[in-house]
Amino acid sequence: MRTGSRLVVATTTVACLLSLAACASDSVMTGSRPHAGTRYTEATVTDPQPVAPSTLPGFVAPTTAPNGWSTKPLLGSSGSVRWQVFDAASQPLPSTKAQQQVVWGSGDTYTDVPGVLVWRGNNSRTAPAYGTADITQKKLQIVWTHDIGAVSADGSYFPGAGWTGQPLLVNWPKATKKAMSLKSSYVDDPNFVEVVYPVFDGHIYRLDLATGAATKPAIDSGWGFKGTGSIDPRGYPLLYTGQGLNEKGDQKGPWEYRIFDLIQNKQVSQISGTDEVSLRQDPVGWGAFDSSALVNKAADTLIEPGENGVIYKAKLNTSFDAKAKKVSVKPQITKMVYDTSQSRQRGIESSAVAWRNLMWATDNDGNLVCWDANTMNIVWAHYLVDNTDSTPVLDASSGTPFLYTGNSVGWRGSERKDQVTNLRKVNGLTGEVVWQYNLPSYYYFAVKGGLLSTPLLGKGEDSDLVIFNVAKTTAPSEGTMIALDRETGQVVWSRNLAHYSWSSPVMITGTDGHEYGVFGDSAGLLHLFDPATGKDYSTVSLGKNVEASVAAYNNMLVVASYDQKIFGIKVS
Amino acid sequence: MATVFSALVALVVSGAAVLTSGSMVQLPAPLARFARTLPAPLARFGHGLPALLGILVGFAVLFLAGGALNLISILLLTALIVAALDAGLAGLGAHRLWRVLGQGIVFAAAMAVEWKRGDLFLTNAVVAVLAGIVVMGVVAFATEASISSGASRLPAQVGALATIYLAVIAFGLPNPGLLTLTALVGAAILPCAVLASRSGDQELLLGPLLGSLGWALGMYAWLANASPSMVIAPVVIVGIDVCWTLVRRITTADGRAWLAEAGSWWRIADRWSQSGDDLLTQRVAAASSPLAARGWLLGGTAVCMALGLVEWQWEIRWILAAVVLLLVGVGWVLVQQAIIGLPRADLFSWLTALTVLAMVIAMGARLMDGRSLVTALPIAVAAMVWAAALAWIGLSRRSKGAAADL
Repeated sequence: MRTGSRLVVATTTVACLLSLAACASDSVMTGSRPHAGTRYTEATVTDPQPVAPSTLPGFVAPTTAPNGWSTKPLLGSSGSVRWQVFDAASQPLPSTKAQQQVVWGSGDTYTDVPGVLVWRGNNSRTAPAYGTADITQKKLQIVWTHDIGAVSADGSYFPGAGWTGQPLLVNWPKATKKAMSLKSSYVDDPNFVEVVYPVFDGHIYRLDLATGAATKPAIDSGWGFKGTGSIDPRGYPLLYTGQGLNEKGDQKGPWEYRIFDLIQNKQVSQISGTDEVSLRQDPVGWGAFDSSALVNKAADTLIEPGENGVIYKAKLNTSFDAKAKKVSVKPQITKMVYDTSQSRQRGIESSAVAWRNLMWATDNDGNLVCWDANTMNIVWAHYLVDNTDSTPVLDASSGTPFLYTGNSVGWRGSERKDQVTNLRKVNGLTGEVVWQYNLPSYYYFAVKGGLLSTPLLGKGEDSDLVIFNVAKTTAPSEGTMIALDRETGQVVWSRNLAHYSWSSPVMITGTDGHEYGVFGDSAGLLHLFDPATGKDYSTVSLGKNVEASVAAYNNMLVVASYDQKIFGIKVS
Repeated sequence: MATVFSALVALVVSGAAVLTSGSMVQLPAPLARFARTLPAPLARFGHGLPALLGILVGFAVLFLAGGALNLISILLLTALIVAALDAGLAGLGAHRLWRVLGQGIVFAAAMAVEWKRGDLFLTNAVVAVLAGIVVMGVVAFATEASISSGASRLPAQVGALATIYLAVIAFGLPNPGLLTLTALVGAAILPCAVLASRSGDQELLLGPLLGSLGWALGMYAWLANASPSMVIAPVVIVGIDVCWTLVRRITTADGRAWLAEAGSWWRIADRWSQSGDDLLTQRVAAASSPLAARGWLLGGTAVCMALGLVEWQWEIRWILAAVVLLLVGVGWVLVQQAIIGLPRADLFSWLTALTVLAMVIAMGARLMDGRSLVTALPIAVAAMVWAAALAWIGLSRRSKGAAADL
């Protein structure tokens, strides 16, 4: 072989080896950590007082037209936001008409029931894990599985559980367990925790967290669930959960937000997603409910944004008689519809967060909207550029509510422009962006790139961090998990993920005082990682894509994957 | 930072390799003497070797700096492997079929990895393999023809233009990997665009290398959401020139006679896809001047790329955008034919036909898009072709007049 040929062969070989090495593992890049050691905690507020929106800095009073639509300027863009409040009969509700007052306390007061009862555990969306875990080996071990199904709908196939798909873990009050006629061993066991899991196949599975055994027959709702349900925070045997699909093969059904009586194990009430006040027209509307409702226990009120762009407020009129084994609801609905100059699709897939009487949600058009839960009037709306499905996370550790949010590459992808995921911290009172970090992401309409997962607000030793799990960043199949300083937004670490993820990361507090992170990825791996560095301790395969998010109760994790199984996993 | 550093290293290594390749004819005497003292085997792989070395060293630097994303590694190494394999097979005198088979195997293996990784669907992977073979064939054909006709810098110049174009797209989409790969490739081939020899050495590597790198860049841009029309814009003119030539070899008596000289059908098939001296660009160079031919090719390519950017900004559907680019290509062929000697009457007939075609496309645009600007675009292209043809007629009359005066 001649010299030139040798040179070419040698250099090509070296380059091949280098690239193979590059592909071998997730690389982590580390930055500085300016607030390491700072402990950020939200003060417990059990007797919250409402905030008068007119007293907020920068508040702009709305103008109201004779047709009942109120308008105010849109932040972040020229144009405006307009909205109107309706009663259950879709008649405009006069602003003078009294509504149920709703005021939220701090996240730790959302419920007294041990467990994870709602998407990310509370009204701040900061508690996807309950309790502490005794972690010594730093390994994940599958201890049980439960088979679930799949559904063909909307021109696609949905196996197992998907986004957001977090299971609900409930350590019910004894009276509720008795009312639900659970086995006596469950009733008598104070550590019994029930897994309540609505999934794609349209069933709501009820399992024992310890063994995976069915505690009750699965409820067949008929239509698939994509989002996450909510258990009544008062420990009442009520499940609120939104329908994500209205097709099952060739069959087509109604859109409903459904309320289930867990004593009778059946649906007892609903809110229709096919709503005449909806402004969504693509082309005939879309009535799914991916959001996980917040239920205010003091006000007996549920608030649920819909993919039809309507925000529902339901005075539940709940009645629960544990001894008589009866529970009932008679929802009285108020609904609010809004529209901004940037609106195109008019739907909400994120779950709302709440602080006092203020609530926030992001929508498919990139609007972050703040409204007053008492009046259902918009306080402000900020256009944040692109489709935002990720649920904002509330940080009230400073006494002021701040939100961490990020968008996906949606509209900009369809326009082939500015394909970046914008990760932001926003002042919840004013809508002002405190910091922003941009991460280029790939666009694919059906499986979006960008932030689909909910940010993870650090706690304990890692409370200075906010961790974002961003999909499709360095390649369509890859992702980036990035930890930013919660005050400055600067990068503390950034980890390249070989397989992108829509699953929201979870932080578990160990009995050793350390924090441990968990997330699933699109290759079906569940990762146990160090939130301080982003590096894995260990992984376990759940077969196929883990698009759903984990909920944790002490040492036990639960999540379902595309492998059509619910997994009970022990952190050991 | 890793991008800038790796691109700079690629530029320096590639530039140094060009200077020391021993085939320079334009070097100042001291440098030329120095070059002649260096190992002759460096020239074995022709003008592509400097670019290959630049890319390899630049990639190594990128890797060490932590900037070598998996997608960059996969696409770049696929491009280098397929180019080396194709050059090797060409060096052995392998039949075109075996070269295509070799390319297909490497592309298929790489796309299987990409499909398995989840970067694209199976159908897209198959399209990518076919696109790779086509791009390799077209670019290698055009490059070999350019080298043999003494325009060896032309392909690298088109390549440099294309990387600038893709860099603009990478900034707009944006995508750090695409920008990095574009910068690295652009830096490595830039010295070949400026300094490469004009000699008619047999070329082994530059064509396959430019073809495979073009595929890698195009694939990356497409994965990063550039539309197919945005991706093909840099190679529309070259592609049309090659396709026109290949069709002409079959459809004209001259062409068939030339092919028949090869003997058996097996050899004819090989000869059909070998470069000769019959590319439109080569024929224009013979009919007017090499400089004019180069100007027309680079000018046409630049127009396509400018249109590609405009169509991107206007968010025109990619099929419509691609048809408008093809209209530019057809217009370019017409003007080249006029330069070669297409009778004036025929030229005007064809220009009229082109105008009708543009109006049909404009009607389609009206139906598909509805915007007046988009509707006007094919008409504007037709007007531009008319203007180019008339300008050439005017210039040729003046030069004939000047010649008559002499």
